[in-house]
Amino acid sequence: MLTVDNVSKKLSGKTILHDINLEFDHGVYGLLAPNGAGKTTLMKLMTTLLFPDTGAIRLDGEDITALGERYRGQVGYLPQDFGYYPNYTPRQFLRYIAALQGMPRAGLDERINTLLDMVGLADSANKRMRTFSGGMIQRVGIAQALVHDPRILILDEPTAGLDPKERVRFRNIIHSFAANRIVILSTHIVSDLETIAGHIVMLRDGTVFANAAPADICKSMEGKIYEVPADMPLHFGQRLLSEVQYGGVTRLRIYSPEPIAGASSLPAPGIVPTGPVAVAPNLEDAFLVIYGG
Amino acid sequence: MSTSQPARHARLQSGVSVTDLTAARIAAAGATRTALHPLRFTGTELVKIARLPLVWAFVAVFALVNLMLAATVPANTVALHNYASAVTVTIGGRTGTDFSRKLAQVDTGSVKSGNGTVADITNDTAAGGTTPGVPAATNTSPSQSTAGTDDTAADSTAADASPTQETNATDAIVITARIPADSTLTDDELHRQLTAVTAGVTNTLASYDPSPMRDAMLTQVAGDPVATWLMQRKYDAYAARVTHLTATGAAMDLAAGTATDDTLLHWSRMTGYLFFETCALAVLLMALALGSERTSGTEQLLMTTRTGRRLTAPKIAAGLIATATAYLMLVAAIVVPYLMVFDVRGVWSASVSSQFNTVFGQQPFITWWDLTIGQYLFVRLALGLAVTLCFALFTAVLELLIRDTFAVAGLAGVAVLLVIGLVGAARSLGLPWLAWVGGFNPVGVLLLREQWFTELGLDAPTAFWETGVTACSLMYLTAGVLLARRSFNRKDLK
Repeated sequence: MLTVDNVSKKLSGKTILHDINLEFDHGVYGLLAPNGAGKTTLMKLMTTLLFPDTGAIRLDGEDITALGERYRGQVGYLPQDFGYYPNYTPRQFLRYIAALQGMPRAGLDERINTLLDMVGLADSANKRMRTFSGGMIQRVGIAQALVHDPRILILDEPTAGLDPKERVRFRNIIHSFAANRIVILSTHIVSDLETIAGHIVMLRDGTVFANAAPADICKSMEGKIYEVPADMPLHFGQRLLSEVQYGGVTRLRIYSPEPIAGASSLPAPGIVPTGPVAVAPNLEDAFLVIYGG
Repeated sequence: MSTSQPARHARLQSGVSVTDLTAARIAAAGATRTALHPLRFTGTELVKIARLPLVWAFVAVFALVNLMLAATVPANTVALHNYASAVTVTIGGRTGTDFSRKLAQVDTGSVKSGNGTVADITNDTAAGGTTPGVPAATNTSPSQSTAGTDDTAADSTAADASPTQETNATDAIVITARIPADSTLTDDELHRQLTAVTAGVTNTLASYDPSPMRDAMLTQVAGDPVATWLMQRKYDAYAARVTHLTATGAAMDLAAGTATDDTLLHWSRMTGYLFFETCALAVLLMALALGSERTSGTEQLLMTTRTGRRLTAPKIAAGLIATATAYLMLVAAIVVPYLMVFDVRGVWSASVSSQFNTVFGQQPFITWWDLTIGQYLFVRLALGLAVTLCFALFTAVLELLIRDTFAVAGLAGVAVLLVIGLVGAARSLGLPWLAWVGGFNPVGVLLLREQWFTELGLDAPTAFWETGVTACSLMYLTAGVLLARRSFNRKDLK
């Protein structure tokens, strides 16, 4: 178990994280927060790139700073801004990272081949990465995080630059690895978290605002999310979340702390509703409500 | 693959089953992780540096400058140097009565000494007669092989051919001298100049009195008991060296005759440029070695691996190796053309304290231990390498602490200028301790490069000052690197 105990961190004189307490056990954890909320800072603290000002991060009760190499050898990390060596091929790059992780050479090539095939880069394994697209680079990044079969995967914006097909592939990879591992990932693509994260951690103002399963977070919004006609005025306390298109008809998805009189439930598929309709909340609704639409 | 297994064993869209991956995982997990010795990555780090075009651009420019410098020597200076060298090889390099007698037997006559040609000597020494019948040879450039010349059988001698052995006063003495084609000095003139400068030479060290210099230095530090004590010890040792060199007759070595000062000054100028180039390269190479991951965006990736921040060790090692390699390449750019132009066989075996080598034409060149000219030039280059490595270590300290390559380069430049200014001001103001403390670093050593391994006047309180300061600099900079690494290991990598 990876625990974050009373961790605070200031950077450039500004408090980024304040008294964070979290526990990560097996499964997929999604870090959800807007830009600048401290997701990357928290991830860097968990990968020993940064050191906490107060508190500690522990793996199975031992401070990760003290563990040093023994901890880092169990962590696979994909940074948000992933750099690479343009003259290297993916195969060379993975070999290099594997060497830095202390992987034995025996069986390494087989593992690299498997990883490259898994991320869809088998055909490009021996091409220099300077010719790669952003999505291909990102896939190399995912592969390098997995090369040493880490116990903990920390992925910062892992689906950035991936097309929908590649995002599906990525989700499948994460599913397969998360059974008895800790996977912590941050993303702005809320739909990715909905499908793969068993647990959502939401940060606000440097603290943990919510720490629950997606269903539980959405449950707190039940009865408060509506779709209304576009010309319906919003009353005090009501907030616009997004627009919904029904063919050529635009409706508004709103948050209303109070029930809307006359609201019905969603009609059958194919029928465009006319008046206000109560809808089931999703994670995006929760994100927009908590952090402002 | 069993289809009755739960969804987690479903085939991925890529066609690779999770079971396949699990098998690979088990295979990899079964093998134990290797013990990590970070220095094993030194080769990889060296390759990263070698792949940077900027590095080769600088090396190429500096090598070109060195090649041009090495080639820009007046032809007459080369002629004088090489003639003296050939004479030394043939009849010995210790001037005196015997040398003068043998030199008088060299009769150039109508034969021009040149590349591969022969200055033949008659037995008719009493008449001072000329050599009959030997046809004039073509004066060729030093780079041409002698095989194509159409002269006597003695043409088989190439530019670096071994000279014939002197036998007795009645035998011919053959001299082969490599004279540039564009030299305006005839063989007669070369012989005449050499004869003039070696006629009646005495052991000048026997009459050299170091007391006035010692007294002048002690006057400078009068009132400072520690400085006075240090200077007294130094000049006592200096006087002992003068006595020793007097006994060995070092001042009687010919070296390159009248060309000695010029050629050694030329060498000093070349190595001065060399040291500037290599110190600048040392800063560049170490900054690139330690800062390249930041510029390529791979730092966060590498620092979170199992090797992690220990990667700084092979990076520093690679920076030092790259620095030493670049140094040797630039030395070759000086030495190779130098050896192609200058015949050093006779000159480099002479004592560096020859009376023909002086400090600014005024005092003997007394080193702290017996050195030939060749040995002096070698240890000078060796010390230059050590100073260059100091610059690399200094850059490593700055890079680990500041982590900004531009700031590091700027700070290194500012530090150099500060030392130069401080030492210069201290000298002008007559503050020897300030100069000694302010110059107790590689920059201070470079400021004294013209007279390394000599007494260095008021600039050095002890013998072997430049050597001691360099050794201490290497030690304290290495300690600095170790401390900086420890600081880096606790630094936030934003």
